[in-house]
Amino acid sequence: MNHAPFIWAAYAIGTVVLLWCALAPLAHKRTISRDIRKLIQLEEVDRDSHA
Amino acid sequence: MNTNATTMTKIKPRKNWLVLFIHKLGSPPWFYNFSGKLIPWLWAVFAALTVWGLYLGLFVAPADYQQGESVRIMYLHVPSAWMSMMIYGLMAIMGFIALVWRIRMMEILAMSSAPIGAAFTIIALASGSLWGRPTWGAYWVWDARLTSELVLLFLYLGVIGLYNAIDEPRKAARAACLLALVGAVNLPIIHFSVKWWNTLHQGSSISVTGGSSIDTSMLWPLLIMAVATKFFYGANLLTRARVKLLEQDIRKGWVKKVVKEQKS
Repeated sequence: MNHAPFIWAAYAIGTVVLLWCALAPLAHKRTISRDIRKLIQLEEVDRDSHA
Repeated sequence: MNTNATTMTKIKPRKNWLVLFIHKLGSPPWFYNFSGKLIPWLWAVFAALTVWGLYLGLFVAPADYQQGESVRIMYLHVPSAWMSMMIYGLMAIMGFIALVWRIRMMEILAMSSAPIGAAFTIIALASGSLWGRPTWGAYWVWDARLTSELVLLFLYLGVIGLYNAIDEPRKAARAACLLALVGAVNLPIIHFSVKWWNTLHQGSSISVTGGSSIDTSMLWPLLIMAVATKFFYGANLLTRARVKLLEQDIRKGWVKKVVKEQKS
């Protein structure tokens, strides 16, 4: 039996899962940073309108 | 007067560096800045060790005299299986500390560990299945080791699901930490399954106390990969914890300051 497909499939799955694991929090951070920037802008607008 | 002064100096409580460090870790802005500096180094060590370990494991180490080339899956499967158990153990310990002493950073670290542990469990199960086909002739058998590892995956998914099901993050973390703590009973079952039951899965080839039955040409890449996965965990855990901190403290001044600095 040729073992190469099993070996490469195992390492391919490992790579995909670890990449997902590493990149998912970065994508989430980008979304949160965008929300925080919007919040800061809204607060600045609110402060300006009261001034 | 002098004697009194000396006595005062002796009585004065001194905080050692470890206690101070733990106190500082409890401060979200300090943790955010400190971990931000540490993460690139952890990723760099992980990358270097992975390249080295994979080179030795895939190109230098010999094929097994019985299993042939399929033994090369070991350099991914075994470190992942070790990590799946180690991360669960750490998550349970952090969960215990979070429940007893109500330390928010511990809740965040415990909850950030769960997806990483689940990822390693998926890799251990998938690579084990792909190793089982050429070795045992089957992708899956309801063997004690495989079944208890599958239960570990369900426990991780349960912790993640419970944490996401409750809106209030601290209440959610406490509930999930309790589940993590209860699920820790599965760890000795996984470890001793190959001794307690007659399993198709082989027993341990490596022993900390000596008597490892694995050749050094295979042992070194395995150990290097095992250390590399620890660095992956460290880097990923800190990254996830930083994101959770930003999410929870979204209305706090230090978060706005951090985001403004990122922008500029």
